Order: sequence, then structure tokens, then C-alpha cells
Amino acid sequence: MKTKILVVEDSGPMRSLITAALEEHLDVDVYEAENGFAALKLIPDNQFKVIVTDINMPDINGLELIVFLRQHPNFKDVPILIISTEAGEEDRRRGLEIGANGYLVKPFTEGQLVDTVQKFLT
Amino acid sequence: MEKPQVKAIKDFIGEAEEILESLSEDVESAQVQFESSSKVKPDMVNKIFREMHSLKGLASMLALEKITVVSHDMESLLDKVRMGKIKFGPQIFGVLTEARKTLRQLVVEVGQGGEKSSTDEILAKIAEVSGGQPAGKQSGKPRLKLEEETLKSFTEYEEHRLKENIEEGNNIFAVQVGYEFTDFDTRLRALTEALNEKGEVISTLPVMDPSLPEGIHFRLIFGTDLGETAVKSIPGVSEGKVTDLMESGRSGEKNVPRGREEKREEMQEEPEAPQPKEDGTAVSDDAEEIRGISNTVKVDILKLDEVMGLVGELGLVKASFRKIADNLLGVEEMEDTRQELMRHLRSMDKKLEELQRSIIEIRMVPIGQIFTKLNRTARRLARQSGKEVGIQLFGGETELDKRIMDELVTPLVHLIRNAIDHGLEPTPDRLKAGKPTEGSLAISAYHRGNSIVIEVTDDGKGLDYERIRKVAIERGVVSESVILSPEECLDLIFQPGFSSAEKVTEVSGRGVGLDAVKTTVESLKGTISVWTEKGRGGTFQSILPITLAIIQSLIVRCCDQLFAIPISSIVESFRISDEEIEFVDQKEVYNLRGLTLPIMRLENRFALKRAGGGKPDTLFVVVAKRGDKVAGIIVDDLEGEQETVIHPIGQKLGRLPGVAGATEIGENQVILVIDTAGLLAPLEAVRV
Repeated sequence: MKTKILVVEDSGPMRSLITAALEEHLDVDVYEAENGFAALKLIPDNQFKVIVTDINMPDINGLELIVFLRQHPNFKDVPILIISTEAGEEDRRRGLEIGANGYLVKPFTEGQLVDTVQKFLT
Repeated sequence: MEKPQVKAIKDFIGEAEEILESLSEDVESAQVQFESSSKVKPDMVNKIFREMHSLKGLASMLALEKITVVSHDMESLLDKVRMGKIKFGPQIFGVLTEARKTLRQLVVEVGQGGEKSSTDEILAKIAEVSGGQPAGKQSGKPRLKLEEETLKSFTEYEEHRLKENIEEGNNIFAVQVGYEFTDFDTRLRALTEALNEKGEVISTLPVMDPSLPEGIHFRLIFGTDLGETAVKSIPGVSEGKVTDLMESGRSGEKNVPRGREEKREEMQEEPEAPQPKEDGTAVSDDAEEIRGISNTVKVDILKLDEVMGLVGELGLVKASFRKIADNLLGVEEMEDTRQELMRHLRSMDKKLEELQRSIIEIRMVPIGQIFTKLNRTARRLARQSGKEVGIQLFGGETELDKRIMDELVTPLVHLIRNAIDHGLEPTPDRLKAGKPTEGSLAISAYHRGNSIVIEVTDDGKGLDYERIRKVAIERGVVSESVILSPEECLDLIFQPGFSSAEKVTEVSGRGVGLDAVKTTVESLKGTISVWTEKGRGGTFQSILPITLAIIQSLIVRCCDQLFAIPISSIVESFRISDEEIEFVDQKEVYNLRGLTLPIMRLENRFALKRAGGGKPDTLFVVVAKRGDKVAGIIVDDLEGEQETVIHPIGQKLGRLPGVAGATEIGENQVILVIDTAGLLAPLEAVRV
């Protein structure tokens, strides 16, 4: 089985672009979640190697998802990459504090995204 | 196929147009809120903020610099507003409106080749407003009975909302609920909605606690002017646990300075009329606003059906003119008039034909429109099955009638499921067979004459004739004594009740099998076939007309009248003599290679009168399909095959069973098109 990566992002086009970039450059299978709920549904059955998440989302936000993942026995050590806006500086800081492993500020290039995820994979 | 970049730009314009439209609506709603209460609700501010945010995200991925910068600066400004750092006021509305206009103009320009308009002015304005007045008091960290970890999971915005709630004198509660995994999202959304009616859900935190029962648990932080008892009575809350989070434990309606209900009533008593908007904009600006960015119109397919119907009726009107012209033939003093009438009729003919072709063209869409969705579904199914599948799509630009395309989605999903579930082998089996671990699934489309061919191919284990036969016998689809050719064997998989999967899987399920696919394809006047090579995979091929408006028909004659029978519903046709028709139970039948074929004489069905009264020596039987059964139609003669455009006809005839519509053949002759299923319905058709 290919390495599984979870991308949580509520903007459809953004999500597709991220998926396309990752699947094109890395040998991975990207699972997409359009919000926190969808992410929660995928978690019990899939062991993701990296989780990429937006912060500002309806339902449950990225930080809440991170807190949950860090308490989950299967995900307490899985690298989490935050993608956030420049305005979200404070939220990024909080994210790192509660256990995210890195962040990318939108807009980021395909290369930056692929490099960061690859770093987390190895 | 379009180049990826071109497609991305097109997608962007569509998406951006939608965002800007809802932005425009939301700014207007915000304005109404502001005018009536001098306040804009936090969720509305947040929504506008998120719209700017989405637009920026989209533009930045395509490196559209100007749109990115403007939406970025607006996003930062709105962020300050939603955080309460800047107060919402007329200035904000002004800059919002202007920014939206600039952004819209830029999106238009992207469609025309690139961003052009200057953004200096709007950027300066945003900067000016951003430096603006602070919204006032900011208090320190709220004092609440909340653990550090929960507080840390708040975004800056949520923290701000929490503070605001406390400042307004609201109580803060934690509502903890647990749900089954299957439906937690709908139930939680319902609860959130109920709570938001009575206050504000500030944060929703999923809880991981092994001591809790199975399922998934959430902790909602809820700000409200209600007391604990009232909160507990909100629908959906009673099954959870409510904790008062206020430090002093102050909970009760008393300490609320001014209830929300009260405020609402006040608003209703003296509703302020919305102020007329500034009238500074020129008419052309307004016109520009209203005009759509993309050059297309969306039309309900039913409207096109209607127009097509009208063309058909015009054809009939034309035929009656033609009849008038024919009646004038031989009347000497009218010859000039007749000639003129004929000339106009010919020109009308041409125009009608063009009109018809245009409508058919309008209905055509590239099948790529469903490819994206099919690809997504295929990937999901592959995941569920645990198999590695590479999916390839070919011929997305192939066009077909929109209605046919829509109808095809279900059968195609079915074929994809079938390939993933039954065709492709699990990885260990593939390795054993010396195949790459990743299975291949290809969906391709191409034109062949007036038909579209759609193939679903996999490189899996292929179909096993012996097993198909065995299963068919087990399921009673075929009797053991029947000897079957390989082709006939394959055909069994399309029989109702046949499903060769040994076990029921999540992906394919059981029962609703390929027979459903076949039925749909045939209802679209198409055919489906399969070929396979053991160990190498299989291909399901469907051939469908690109439009249902034009079909290949067999023209038959009966009592000197012509009729068209759609070829797709004919099995075979051949000459017989009248003596060969036998009676069984007082019904006419024909012995077709040992099969008792029920028959119907077309002349009886349509009460046609035979000139001279005598019966013809030879007849023709057209064996036609009715579902998966057959029956025969007796006609005098076969005239040949022809492409026919079916026109729906007037309501009276349209309801006549056995008539599908009318078509024109050759010299302005309008004839009826037979709907074999309707025509043969009174007969007890037999299975071949």
C-alpha cells in the first residue's frame, strides 16, 4: 500500500491543488477531508503518515483537530503540517504549541509544500 | 482536452465569480444588520472574512498577483474587524464595496488575458482604514474554569469571541456530548444549530478519552444569556453533560444586564427603513456589475426539449402547407402561386434543418464533465477495496447529449465498481501472476459515426467462462442442459439475478448487477458488450447514440403506409408467408426456430385499410425487443434503413401507446416512429 496522507482543507480548489501536487511528486495516496468532521471519520480506519491541515474551518477548526489527534493513541506522534494565512500568525503559534510539527503560510509554492511533506515522511 | 493551465484559469473564474457574488450578498446583509442595530453579527463578519480568504487562496495558487494582494490586504483588515480590533462602520462598508468592484474587474481581466487595472487606489484606501480606530476595551485573559489545553485549542478568533461573550455578561458553559460514529456529523450540526439559536457556540472540541463509552465525544464551549437549567432544556443537550465554566459559578439569568430577547423586541418596534444607498455610481458601473463574467448561459434541458418539440410541430405544419401545394397541382390559374409556395417551402425546409442541428449541438457536452467525478469515485472505491489502482481517463472531449450523459453516470459507476471489485485482483494474486502490483483501470470515450463508444477496461483476472456458467446454473439463470458458446456465456452476466461475486463486498454489494446497467444502456438506445481474456482483464463496451433526437430506423411498409422502427429495438427481420402464421389459444404466433413467437399485425393495431381487400402473399416479421423479451411485428415490406430525427408529436398522438413520435423521410413525407415496447405491450412476449 502507498503511504497515506490526509489533507484537511475546506476550500475545494485549494484541496485539489494540494492533492494534485502531493500525488504528482511523491509516491503517496492523498485522502481529502473537506472539514474536521470528515477528517474525524477517516481517522479510525486509516493510519496516515502525515496530516496537512488548514486552521480556519467551519465545524471544528484545525487546532481542535490537532488537540484531538495528539490525544489519539495512533496519531500522537504523526507529523502535522499546518497551512495557514499570514494573518493567522497567532493561530500558527498556538498550533505549534499544542503539537503541530510545522507550518506553511499561504500562498506557498508547490515546491515548498512537497519539500516540507517529504521531510516529514523521512 | 484543455491544457491544465487554461482549465485552471477557467475554474478559477467560475469559482471567483461565485465567491464575489456571495460576498456581495453578505455585504448587503451586513449593511442591513448594521443599519438596524449599529452592529454586524460575528458570524456574518466571519463569513465575509472567509470569502476574502478563499479568494486569496485561489488567486495565489495561480500566481494572480493583483487579486492576491488586494484580497490579502482585505483579509487582514477583516481579520482585525472580526477580532474586534477595528469597529465595523461606514468606512469598512465603503472599502469593502470598492475592493469587491476592483476584484471583480480583475477577475474579468484574467478571463481576457491578464490582470490590468491599477490597484494602487484601493490598496491605499485599505491601508488607511486598517490604521483606523480601535474598537475599544480589550480585557485580559478570561477567567474561566477551563484547562490550559482547551484554551490553547482556541483560535485567536474563538478566544476573542469568548471574551466578547463574557463582556456582554453571558454565561459560558461546556456541553459534552457523545455520538455514534456513523452519524455524529449530522447530529452535532443539529445540536450546534439549536444552541446557536439561544447563544453562540464558540468552540467545538473532539474529545479523546478511553474512559468514555464507544463512539465519538465532543465538548462544545457555549456562550449564552440563559441559565444552566434553560441550557439543559435545549433540544439535544439533555443527553449530554452541561458544566458551568464561570469562575465564580455565577449562573442565572439575573446577572445579565440586558436580555437578548428584549433587544430583539426593541428592534422590531421601531424598524428603521434601510437607507437609500449612495447614488454616486454611474449607470454603466451598475450595468457592468449585473453583467455576468463568463460568456455562457445555463439553460434547463427541459427548455431545449420543448424547443425541439416545437421544431417537430413546425415540421408537421410545413407538411400541411405541402399538402395545400399538392392540391393546387393541375389548377392552371394557380400554378404561379403553387410554384411560389414550393419555393418558400424549400427555404423553410433548409431553415428548419439548421434549427434542428443547432439545438442538437446546444445539447452536446463533453463527457469530461463527468470524468472528474468518475475519477474521484473510482479512487474512493479503490481505497475502500484496499487494492492499488491506477486510473486513466481518455477522450474527455468527446461530446454527447447532456441527457444521455447524465443517465450514464449510474451505469458507469457500476462498471467501475465491478472492475475494481471483481476484475482487479488483490495485490498478492497480482504478484503471483507476474503483474505490477498496481491494477489499471481505464475509462475511454470516442466517437464512431453518430455513436459514442465508452469503454471501461481493467487488467485484472478477466472473466471465467466456466465459473459464470456454474453460477448461472446455481442461480437458475440457465438450465444445466443448455450448451453455451463463450459469447453466450458472457452474456449471462447481464441476466437479472446474476452476480458472480463469491462474497458480498462493501464496494459492489450484491444483486443490483450488470442487468441494471444493460437496462439503462438499452433504454438510451444503446448496446453493451463485454470481451475478456483470462488472466489479462476485460473490457465493457457501451455504444450509445450521441443524441436521442437522431436514431437509425428501419422503414417498413404496411397497407401502403410507411413507419419507422428504431433499429436498436430490433433483433432480426425476415420474410415469411401468411400460411406460416399459426394459432395458439386463438392468438397468432410464429414458430421461430422452435420458439413460439407471439406476433402482432401492424395493420390491425393501427386499423389500417388494405386497398383491394386482398392479403399479400409474403409478409415480413420484425422481431423486436420488449425489455429482455421478444415479440414479432408483421408488416408488408421492408424499405431499408435510414437515419431519422424523432420529433415528439402533439399531445393526442403522443399518448397513443406504440407511437414514439414522428419523423420526416425523403420528399417531405412525415411518418410515425414506432415505440416497440408500447406497441407490443398487449402481447405476452417470450424470453429468447
